[in-house]
Amino acid sequence: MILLLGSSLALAASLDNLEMAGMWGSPAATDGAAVWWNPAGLAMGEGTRILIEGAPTFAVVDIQRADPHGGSDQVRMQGVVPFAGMATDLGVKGLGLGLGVGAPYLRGGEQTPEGGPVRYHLRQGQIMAAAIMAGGGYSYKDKVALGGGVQILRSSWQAKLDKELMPDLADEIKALGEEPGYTDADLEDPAYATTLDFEPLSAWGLTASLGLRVQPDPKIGLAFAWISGAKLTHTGGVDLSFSCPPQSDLLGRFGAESRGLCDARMKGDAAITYALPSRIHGSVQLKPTETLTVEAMGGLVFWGAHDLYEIEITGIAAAQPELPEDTVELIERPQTWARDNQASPWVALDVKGSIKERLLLGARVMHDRAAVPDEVLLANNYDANDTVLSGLVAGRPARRIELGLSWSHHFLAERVVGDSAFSMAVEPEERPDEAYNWPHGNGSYRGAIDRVGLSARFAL
Amino acid sequence: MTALSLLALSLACSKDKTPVDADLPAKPLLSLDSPMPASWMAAGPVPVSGGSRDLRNVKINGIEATIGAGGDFAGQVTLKEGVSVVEARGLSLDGDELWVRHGVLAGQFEAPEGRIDEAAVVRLNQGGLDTLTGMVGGLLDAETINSALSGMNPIYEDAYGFWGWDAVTIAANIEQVRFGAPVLALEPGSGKLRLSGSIPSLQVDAYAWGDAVGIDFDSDVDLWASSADVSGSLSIEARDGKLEATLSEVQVSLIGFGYDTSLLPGSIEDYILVDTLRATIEEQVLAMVEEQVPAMLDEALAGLDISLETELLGSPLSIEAIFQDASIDNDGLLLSLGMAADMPAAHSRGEGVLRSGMGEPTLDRNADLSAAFRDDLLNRMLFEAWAADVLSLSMNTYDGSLQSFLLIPLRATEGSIEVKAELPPVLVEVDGEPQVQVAELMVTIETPDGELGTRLLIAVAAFVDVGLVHEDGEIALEMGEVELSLMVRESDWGASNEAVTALVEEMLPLETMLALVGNLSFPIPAIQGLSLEGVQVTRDRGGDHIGMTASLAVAQ
Repeated sequence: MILLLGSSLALAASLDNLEMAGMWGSPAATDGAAVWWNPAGLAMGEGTRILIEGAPTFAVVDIQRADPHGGSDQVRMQGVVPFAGMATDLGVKGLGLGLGVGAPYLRGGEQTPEGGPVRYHLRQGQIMAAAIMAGGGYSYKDKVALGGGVQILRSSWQAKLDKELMPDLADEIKALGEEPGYTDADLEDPAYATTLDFEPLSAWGLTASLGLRVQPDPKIGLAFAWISGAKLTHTGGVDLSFSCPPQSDLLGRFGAESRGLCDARMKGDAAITYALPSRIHGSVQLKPTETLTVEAMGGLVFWGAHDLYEIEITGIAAAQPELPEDTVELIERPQTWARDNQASPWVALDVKGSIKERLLLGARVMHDRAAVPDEVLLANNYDANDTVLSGLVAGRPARRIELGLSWSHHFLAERVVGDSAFSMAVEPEERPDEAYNWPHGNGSYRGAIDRVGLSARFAL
Repeated sequence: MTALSLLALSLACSKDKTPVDADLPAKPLLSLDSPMPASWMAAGPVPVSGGSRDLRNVKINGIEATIGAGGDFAGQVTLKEGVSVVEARGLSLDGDELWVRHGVLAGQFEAPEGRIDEAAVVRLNQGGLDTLTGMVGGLLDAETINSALSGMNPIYEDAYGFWGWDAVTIAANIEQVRFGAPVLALEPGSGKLRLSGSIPSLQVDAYAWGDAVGIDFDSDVDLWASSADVSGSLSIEARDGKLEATLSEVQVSLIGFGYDTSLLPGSIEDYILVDTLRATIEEQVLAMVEEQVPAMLDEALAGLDISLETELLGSPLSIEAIFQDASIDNDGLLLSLGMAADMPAAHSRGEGVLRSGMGEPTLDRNADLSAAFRDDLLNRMLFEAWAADVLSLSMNTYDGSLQSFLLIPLRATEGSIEVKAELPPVLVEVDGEPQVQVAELMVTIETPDGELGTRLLIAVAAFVDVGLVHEDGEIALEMGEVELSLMVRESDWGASNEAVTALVEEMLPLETMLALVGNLSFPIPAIQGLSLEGVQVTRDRGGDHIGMTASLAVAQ
């Protein structure tokens, strides 16, 4: 297995990774996890606290795509999701500073085998926004703490998928006064497909966070945080591999050849723009005994901001100066791909208790509602109502070191889509709005994710 | 730190930046090196070779070729006489077909010089001979005879006496001969035509004068016969390119001979004039037949000379013909003609005229006239037309010579079409029917405002079944089923030649354009004084001739 960071299906609604820092992460966190979850928590601890986690994650989604052009397909991925965070008071009481790296936004997968029915949505892809986080907070008498942070996002967007050429070809043929003779049943013929292979496009972004931590009583803690969203424009290269209509399709073949598209390989520049949401989350933490901690938490992620992929391909003429101008125009025509996410709430209950001085056990149940409506669900937009059961065992081999092992299983609710907003048609008047003019996503989707968290916490 | 390192690795891990072109598989290729387009070849098996790249197989005219390690392929194709399209067709690894087509002309060729021996064979059967003799008989009119006889008078002079004394002198002139329409017949026999006939209602007005025992006399003399029967033998020979008719063994016999000499002294009538005049009349009729009939036959047969100046596809064509042989069998007269065709504008091109076989035509022995024209003659005409660039056409929408609608399929409204033939068209027999074949007809289509492109160069091979019809005194080759083979050799349409070829085959009304060439037609002999009726043009069973039958009628 090649160890790739962030190579995983979404761990929560849409692109979200709600399991930042695994079971150590929560709005009430005061260790290195606080740098993401709530910078006010940075000021609620003493000394220097370091958290490192690597989480091998195994995900699979089985898709039974409905006709037309249906069939069984599977998207799989495995990888390691990382997190590292540090909090310190620098010896100043009430002060808290933190640094961290993590991947708060993740999605990825690979068709197994490649070329199945969902190839027009996803052959292989990986979206990951890695964040370098810094934050600080200050507490007043350990009762109230305020914190703030910034996250420098280094976002990467990579995808390989097929694009249907037949409707464009049909338009060209009709423009010549000829009848192409295609029907919708002919769509998704591999001979009319273009494989787009976006190199990892990259973008820089900046988000900020604010946090509040209230500890009115040693047994009760309240936490609230807000993290801003960002709009990212990813840029990089794209390779285009065109198929070639069969010779029996005289007009199509001629059209493709005369446009320089037949079996052509091209390079270009690509830009993918989309928005990441802002979010709020909070928790109530109870410590009924010295050894037991119960935290009820929840949040709302404003995924409504993630409504669209804006796709631009440029630089075709520069890389392929021999191409006809109208071919360049065709390829460089800006496109959009609807995401139509909706705000997604989540809730969780986390319980941790020390059995012995050096042994800690924890459990968490979390429910995260899907942010992607049925109508726009695709293999590359997979999301589901997610119930996560997690367990944690942590031990202290030394006084300042705690090693943890966690396991989470995501019970992803089956989704059945029968009214996909996406559709394609040969006849222009039957085509939907451009953002939905992509192969349909009707079918059933079933998935499961297993996550193993290996963590180490240091208290210096 | 481990996590930081991993993250750094991830961020640095971008795709290989190898240029895409380096990954491109080489495009499959197919070339045909031999034979080259517009080759002149011998009929029979010929080697075919070429080169290929990334092809699963290569077939030459449908037969699998052997592909060497370097992609070179070789095979063989058997060329029939006439035009052939040698096609190499390859199947790419993607399942696409590539093809190259070269048109060639196969057969034996001879220089387009001199006459073609036995280019035409004409047979005049009994019915035709009857018509011919009927025409000749009609030429024997009394006025002509009288004019001839006037120079022969007196037709009779004599004297009778004793001891040096002419007791009777007598002379006679024929003043007028009248007769009904002569009826002549020619019956073919072994090597000769037997002539038989009758000149009905013969009336001879004579004038006799002289003296008898010192007494002058003169008087009209009327003679008549119910008919003058004629018989003889007619031979016809070709000499110095012309036909000569020789009449021999001619006999004339007056039937129902009578006279009125009542005005003459009785002794003269009884002993001298009557017997003498009968013989004289018979001699005169004999002389008249011997002199007039061969001349008239010569003249009639000369009408079979089909040398002429005409036009082929609008250009002057000279056809020279000579009689090479004449023979007579039991069914009629058989004439062989050597012919040459020439177009003044023709210049030396190619390797020569396609030679057809030397088979003997089967001529109809029942029709009045039957004839056969060797394919060599037609091919000579086609060659001359080609050599004279008659087949090179230039049409454009600017001067109206090309209709714009023909360019609409090419998404153009204006342009030009140039046609140039790299090989001469030929006429060959295919499945018992004549077919005009032409290959490497290079069609250049310029469409300055074309949406698809502005220039196409197409090599066309056409196999046109032709129907043989008689129209306006010509043998016309009417276009029938047309089989076209196209190959786009050059274009700026941006697509492969195969794709453009397929599109052009689908879109371009080439058959319509071919029709612009028009039907080929060749003149057939117009026999002087006679007309051809009920002409039937057929393909001779021998495979090398166009046959024709017709009824003969005296031209009105």
